[in-house]
Order: sequence, then C-alpha cells, then structure tokens
Amino acid sequence: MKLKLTYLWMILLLGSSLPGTVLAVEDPWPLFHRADRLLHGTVVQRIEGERDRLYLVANDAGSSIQSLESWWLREPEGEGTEGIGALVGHRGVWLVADAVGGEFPTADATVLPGGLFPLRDPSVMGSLEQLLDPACNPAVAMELMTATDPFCRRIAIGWWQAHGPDLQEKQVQTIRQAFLAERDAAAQRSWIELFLQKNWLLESNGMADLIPHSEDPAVSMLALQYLQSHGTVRQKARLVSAWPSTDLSGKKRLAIAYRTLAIREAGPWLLQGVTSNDPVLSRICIESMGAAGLVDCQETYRSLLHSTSNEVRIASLKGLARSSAPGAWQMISETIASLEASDPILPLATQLQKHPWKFLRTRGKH
Amino acid sequence: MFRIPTLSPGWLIVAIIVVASTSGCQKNRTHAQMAAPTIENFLLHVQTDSVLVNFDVVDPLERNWEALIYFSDDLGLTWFPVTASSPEEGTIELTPPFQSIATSWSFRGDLNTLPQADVLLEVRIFDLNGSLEAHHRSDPFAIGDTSPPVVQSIVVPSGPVGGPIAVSGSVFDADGDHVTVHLEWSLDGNEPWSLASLEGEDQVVILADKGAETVEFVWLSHIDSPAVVSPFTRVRIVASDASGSHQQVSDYLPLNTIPPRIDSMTIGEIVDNLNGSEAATTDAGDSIPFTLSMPSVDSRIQVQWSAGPGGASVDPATLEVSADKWIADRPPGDDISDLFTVIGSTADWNIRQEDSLPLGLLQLTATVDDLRGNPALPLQYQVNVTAGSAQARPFDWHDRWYLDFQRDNYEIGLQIDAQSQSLTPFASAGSDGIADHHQDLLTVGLQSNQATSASNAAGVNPRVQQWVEEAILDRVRSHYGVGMLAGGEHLQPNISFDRFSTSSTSAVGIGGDDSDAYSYALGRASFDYRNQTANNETAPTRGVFTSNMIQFYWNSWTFRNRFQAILPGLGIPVGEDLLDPIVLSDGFIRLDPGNTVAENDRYDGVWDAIDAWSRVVSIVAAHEIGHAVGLCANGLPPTGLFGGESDLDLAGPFTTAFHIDTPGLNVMSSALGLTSALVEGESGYQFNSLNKAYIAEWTTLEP
Repeated sequence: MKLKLTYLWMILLLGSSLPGTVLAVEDPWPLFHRADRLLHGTVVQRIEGERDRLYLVANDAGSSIQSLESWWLREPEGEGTEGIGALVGHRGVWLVADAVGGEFPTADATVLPGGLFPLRDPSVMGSLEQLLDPACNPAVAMELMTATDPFCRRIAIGWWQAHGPDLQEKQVQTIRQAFLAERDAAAQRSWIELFLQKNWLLESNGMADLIPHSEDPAVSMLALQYLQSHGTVRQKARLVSAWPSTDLSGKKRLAIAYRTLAIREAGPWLLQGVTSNDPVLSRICIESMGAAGLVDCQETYRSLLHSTSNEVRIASLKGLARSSAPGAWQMISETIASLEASDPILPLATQLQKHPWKFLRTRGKH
Repeated sequence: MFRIPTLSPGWLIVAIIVVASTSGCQKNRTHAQMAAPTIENFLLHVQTDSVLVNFDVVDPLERNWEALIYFSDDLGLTWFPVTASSPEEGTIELTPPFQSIATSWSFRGDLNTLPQADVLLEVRIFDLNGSLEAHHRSDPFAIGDTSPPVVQSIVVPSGPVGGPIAVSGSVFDADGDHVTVHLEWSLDGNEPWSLASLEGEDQVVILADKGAETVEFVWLSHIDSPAVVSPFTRVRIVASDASGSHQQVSDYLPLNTIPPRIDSMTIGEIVDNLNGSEAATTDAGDSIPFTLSMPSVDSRIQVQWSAGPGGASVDPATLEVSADKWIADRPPGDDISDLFTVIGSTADWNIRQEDSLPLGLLQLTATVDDLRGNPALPLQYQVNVTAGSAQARPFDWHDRWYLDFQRDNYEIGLQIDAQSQSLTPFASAGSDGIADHHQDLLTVGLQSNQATSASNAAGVNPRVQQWVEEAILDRVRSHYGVGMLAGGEHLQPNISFDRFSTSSTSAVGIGGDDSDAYSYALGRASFDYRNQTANNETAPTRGVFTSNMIQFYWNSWTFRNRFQAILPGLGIPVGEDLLDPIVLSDGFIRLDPGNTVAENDRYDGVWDAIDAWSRVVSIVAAHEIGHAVGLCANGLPPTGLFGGESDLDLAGPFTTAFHIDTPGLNVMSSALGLTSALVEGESGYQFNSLNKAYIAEWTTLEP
C-alpha cells in the first residue's frame, strides 16, 4: 500500500511527455501546509539530471534554513512532469520538504512540485514560516491577511480555513475590512470561501457587486452562493439596481442571480433581457422568468411556451423545470400534454420533469 | 414662348463686373503648360445693349493667337460663341506686341429673354491650328432689372435622423433664370452655417422658369458632423443668382450621428488577440505580428457589430463585406454580404466548395449602417487562405474516442489516518479486479459496498454509476461542441465520444492514480501534432487520475460542501440511505409536487455530487484528449496555438509547454481549481476560441 502526500486543492494538468516551463499551483495553501520549511533565496546555479533537477539557491536573510549561505534543492521530474523551470536569478519563496539523499546529502532538500512563489516583501518570511504550525498564534495569520503579496494573503486565509479559531465580533470586523480591500481575484475566491465556511456575515454591498462585475467567474459564483445563504435585502436590492449599468456579461450573471435568489423585483429587467439581441442573455432571462415566478403574468410565459422557436420553447421549459412555484409543475405538465408525439422537444420536456438537474446541467436546489 | 422685352433706358443699369486676374481654371493648367498664354485684367461692363469686354493677353514667347468670346445664360451649363454684330466683334486676332483688348458683346442677338441674372462670359484663346490653349470665365452677372430667387419651402424628415438625410425644397425665380442652390447646416440652428456635404455635387443649378422648382438634396450629416447628438440641428437651402440670394431654414432636426461599430471580423469566433488582428506582444514589449491560416473551404467567417454608445440600432440589411480578390465570381470590392447568414448582431459565412476562397493572403472589409444611416468605420481582417490539405486537417478522419472507465491499475479506498484519526483516501499500485473509477466513486460516496438490500433491489448503485459516466460523457461532448452550432450541428462531426469501445479509434483511461508518487497531476496524455494518428491514452501513466483528484480535494471546504450528502464520514453514501431506493429509482420524478422535502433533498444532494464530479472529470478528460488531437501546439500561428508562449501579454500564469492560459476559464490551461471547475454556464471552463476553431478546422496549422 502506498502512502501519498495529499496536496489538497492543487491541481495540475500535465499534458505531454515533453517538458514544460512553469509548474502552476492554483491555490498555494494546500502546497504550503505540506512544506517542512521555507527558504527565501535566489537561484545561482542549475544542474539538469536525468530524472531530476538541482538548484543551488543563495539563502536570503529571514529564511528558516539559516545555517548555510546556500542550499541545493532537488526538484524531482518523472515522465511528463513539468518542473518549475526556474532559471538562474529567479528569486522567491521555496517550499521545501525535508527529503534527504542524492548527491548532496549535507545540504539537500526537496522542493515541492511547483513550490516556488514570488514574494515582493521578504520581511514577512518570519510570519509566513509560523503558519507552517497549525498551533500558530492566530494574530500572525490575521496580520498576514493584509500582507502586500496575494500569495501571503491566500496562505493566511488557508491557515484560517484549516486552523482558525472562533473570533470575537471585533476581529471578524477586521477580517471584513481586509476582504473589502481585496483586489486580487484569486484571493477574493479564498476570502469568500472562508466567509462561507465560517458563516461570517458581511452586509456590505461589495459582495453583491462582485456578482456582475468580478473578472473571475468563480468569484461571481461564490458571491452568489454567499448571498443565497447570507444575503441581505440591501444586497439583493443592489443587484436589481445594477442592471442598467452592467455590460452584457454582467447582465447574464445578474439574470442568473435574480433566478437563484428569486428576486421578483427584477422581473422588468428580465423582460427586457428576453428581447435582447444576444441569444444567450435572452435564453437565460426566459429561464429566470420561469424559474421563480418572477413575472406575474402567466399568460406571457404561456406564449413563450408556445413560441414558434424551439429555442424559446426549450428555454421556457427549462425555466419551469428550475421553478419552485406551485404552478410550474402544472404548466410543464400541461405543456407536455399539449405536445404532438412528433414534436422534437417532447423527449427533453419529459426528461426535464424527471431528471431536471441532469438535463439542466446544474446542481440541485439549495 | 419667350419674348424679348423692350428695355427702357430708365431701368437699365450698367453693371461692372471685375474679374480678378487670378480667377479662372486655366491658371492652374498654365503651370503644367509653360508655353500657354495667360489672360489678365478681365473686365466686363454691362451696358444697355451690350457688354464691354476688356482683357490683356500675356505670352512671353510672343506668338500669334486668336481669341473668341463665349456666353452662357444658364450659369455655365451650356456655352455658345457670341454673335458678331459688328466688325469689332467676333474673332480677335492677337499679334505681338499685345495690346489691351477691348471688344463688346451685343447680347440682344444672343439672349432670348431679358432680364437675366444667370449670364456668364468667357474668353477662349486658340492657337492658329484651332487648339484651345487658355480661357477665362466671368462670375455670373445680370442684365436688366433682375430680382433674386426665392426659396419658398424646405422639407426635412420628421423624427430622429442621422447619416444621409433627404432634404427637399422649392425655389422660385421671377426672372425664370437658372439658379444655383446649395445646402447649409448648423448644429444649434443658428450662425455660423456650414456648407453641407452632399451626395453628388455640393450645389445644383436649376432652371426656375416654370414657377417653383423642386430641389432635392441628401445631406451626409455623418461626414459633416460625426458622432454628435443635437436636437437643435437645422439646415437651410440657399438659392443664388447674380442678383442676390435667398434662404429658407428648416425645422429642428433631432440629429444623432453616433456611428455603429463592427466589433469583430474573424475566423469562427476567435477573439481579436488570438486571430491576428492584433500583433502578439511580449512582456518585454516586443510586437510579433502573425496571421492565421484558414482552409479555402469548410471554414467560417464571422462579423459582429453593435450600436455605438448612445447611437441607433444597427440595420443588418446594410451589412457590406468585400474582399480584395475574386470571391464567388465577384470581382474585388464587390459586396459579398449575401453569402452571410445574419442572426441578431452576428453574420456568419460557412464557406462551401462552390464559393471556395482564393489561396494566399486575403483581406476582407466589412461595414454596416445603423437605422439612421450612420455607417460604421470599415473593419479589415487579413487571413492566409491555404488548401486545407488532409495532412493539415486534424479530423480528416473520424476519431472515435472511447472513455474507458474500466481500467484497473490500483487498489483504491479509504483508511484511518493514524495522526488525525480521520478517513483518508489512498491508492496503491496494482490491479485488484475492480475498476479504478468505480473505486474512486466508492471513495467519494457515489457508490457503496454496503448498500441496503432495497437499494440493491432497485439497482441504485449501477444506475448512479451510469448517471455519473453519462454526465461525464455528456460534458466531454459539450466541451467539443456537440450540437453547439446553429441548427444543432456539431463543432466537429469527425470527433465523437462513447462509453463503449466498439468501433473506437482512440481511448482515454479514467480512474486511478498517477504512477509517479511525486506527481500532482490530474491527467496526462501524449501530444499529437495535428492529430496525425489514433491515440491510446489508457496506459497507467496516462489518462485521468481521479484518485489523485480525490486526494487533492479531500479536505477542501468546497469539495466537502459539494459532496457532503454522500461523502463517507460526512454524509450517507449512495445506496445506504433509506430514501435511495425511492429517489434513485428509475421511476422517481424530481419535479413531482407529491415528493416529500426529504426525498427531494436526498435526490438533490446526490446530484450535487454527480454535478461536481462530472464537471471536474470532464474538464480533465477534455484537456487530455485535447493534447492527443493537437492542443495546444507550441508557438504562434500559423504553426502553433500559443502553447508555451508564457512571455506573451495574452498568456496567463498557467501557460506552459502545450498549454495556454487565456482570459476566462480555459480547458487547455495548465492548472485547474475545483471552485472554478464548478462554475456553470458560458463562464465555465471551455476551450478558448482559437482552440475551438482548430477543432472545427476553421483554422489549420500550416504556414
């Protein structure tokens, strides 16, 4: 039986037996917390081996490996494993496992796959190193949540997700301020997951603004998830007022948010969206209209169900399939009953009733 | 009938027309013909019965010439030689040394009506062979007691206007003269007025001898006043002859000349920074131009447009597309927009055999007007048309992919972690007779070895596994554009996917761990430039490593949140819940209002996990299959698809060899986040637009 390191979250997609350049890590925390030591240093020499690569790294002040001015770091490379590919002069934080062996046993350590991160402010090295300890003083993580480098902030958030204690309201307020000041999309992702995990309240409209305006669709999705479980009336009202000034991409997200949050006040915007030249926005708005009974006029929706366009009919049925409204089941049943046996949308309509999430390609209602 | 009125000396006037010596069109031509004479000091004196004409001829070469006087009584539309009514009139012999010429024109013999205010005279100088060498023309002048023309009306469109605007009016002249009419405009309806640019000539000459004459102009407002909005715009018609001018001002015109835009013209739907419209830029600031190759047939050109901010809606019927070469039997520059199919604000041209493109560099130009007629700035796009040989086409043969969920290279399960005393997934090398993917599903709770007898009787486990695998298959198909084109056509009909190996050409293994203990890969595949061969990605070192995936995600909040209903130790695995024989049976209808809340919650919880699992696995599978069909060839087009071009501005941090990370969530970037993988809809993971065009063979990799 093989015991493996479980580097959570980090996902690498390696596509070729040919070597690449940079090994990428989506979230640094899972890798970070598997490190035994940190080293802040600069590559001064690089040696290519058959199955591995050696870096001679000049040790900068502040690293935990203080005993030597420089260290040899070994980077394993298997078939198709893309290494860091750092060149002489590359500088940053090296995540190091205490593996021993190789040709340099006296000063040898193994760098974790993808374990090199840029760090603009080396003065935080001491604090960062403390986060390797699950029992570290939470104040250290709290301080690093406002560090200059997004890398540090995500590490601090990751530590808090894994080990953070319950907080006083005043401390939560500090964290709220740190989140609201966040501009890095990847770090925002970590922040919102932390808020969701800890059930911390955030009543700022900033959370709502992320739904239509974030550059990262994952941030938008998480913000919507947050509003679904913790959203305030003001935040939902913010989404309604955001429609006119939002671009096409944002309108699509808003239309989904109106559906997910069942914001009836957004009905007029959805009606406007149905007539959009963009077929995707139009389809999303039709679905949203049907999903939560956002339009009071059932006759309007019935006319969509009997449109001459199959795309419109399918979108209308999908809207009903997403709906929790009492009349939706009846409407979809009536529609199915009215369809000719040869109608091309009949099979989909029937399947939507039975396995809505499968055919809508979405998660269930939550 | 016209009659010649009797002129009384009392109302006859004597007009003096002084023509500046620099006027006349011959002046410029003399520059090119240095030997030609010039006419200077051209003066006219209008008298009761004649016009005295004075001028000088200058010829440094001192040659002999002949001069003739011509007249026009229709503002220069037609010309006739004056009738000589005395020996002093008619042909004038010019012999050096030249003296000032004084002659006259007895107009009563030439003019049918008087008074007139549309008369001009012109001196023409011929050489002795009768060749015209110089001429000089007067301004219009009046003979007799004339009155200016009157603009009686002006008509403009009602409602919002822009672009070419039709303006009409009527002009009356009591003398029945020819009258010059032009149009002027003002954004605020007041001084200053500007001369309008018109379709055709900037002014017209009309004969106003039958009462009020209608004039019609088309004002090109977008040229005179582009990109403005003014509700107070007015135009005015100005009519003039030698006796004066008169104008009539229009009502206010709500003018909006904000033009629409051609947003893109491209192959397929490739965005501008990947289609060669923009040069690639390195982090060092170096610019690298490139041009995409497209096969001469079976490719696709798309044009997209939008209204300008604050402008009118676009009129798709005005779309014009032209090429710089012959296309579809049409010469360069001719409109080929009828080859396009317009849907909304997009026009697509699927290039068929009968309209095949000429080989080599091809430049296309597109423009469109808004409903007011404001035209968009033309947009040009250049591609390199190639023969599209079978070698260049990755899908010149049908590549049938088998998604192999049956491979067995590991023993996979859960164990108690000695330190934390919590359940931890593991995978040990060596087959154990059970498919790795099935064991991975057991690990996350999407299968169970301890299902209730009722669940077993209801076939819960095999049904859920089938749902999982179908969902993965469905999503892989979706990534490769199955049914995504208008009319339900596939992005690439020559690639297909199945859960069964029958008739397959290529295969990808799904399930199990990576053989390399230090690897954190979710998958691996061989790279096959332009998909030259079938590919077998089922070896233990290749395919999709779902065991690795579970180990990576096991403790993450998002993973546990999505799998909480079924995850061992957190929820109840599939088949073990008492509701499973009901809600995971063949007969359960989720939307049935008769379902209990608990039933729906259980069903939804299972589907939460199926949804998440199938999303992540399908992205990795699509990614690895992508490598095996040639994604993303290293380098820039036309031989590469930006693989490994990490020093380009357009490349994100997850760009490595054979991977490119462009804005958005890319299937072919080198890293994947679980949270990102769960994004639904068109913002979720997909191939970038260049990769889609490669799959569709709208662009090919060949120089």
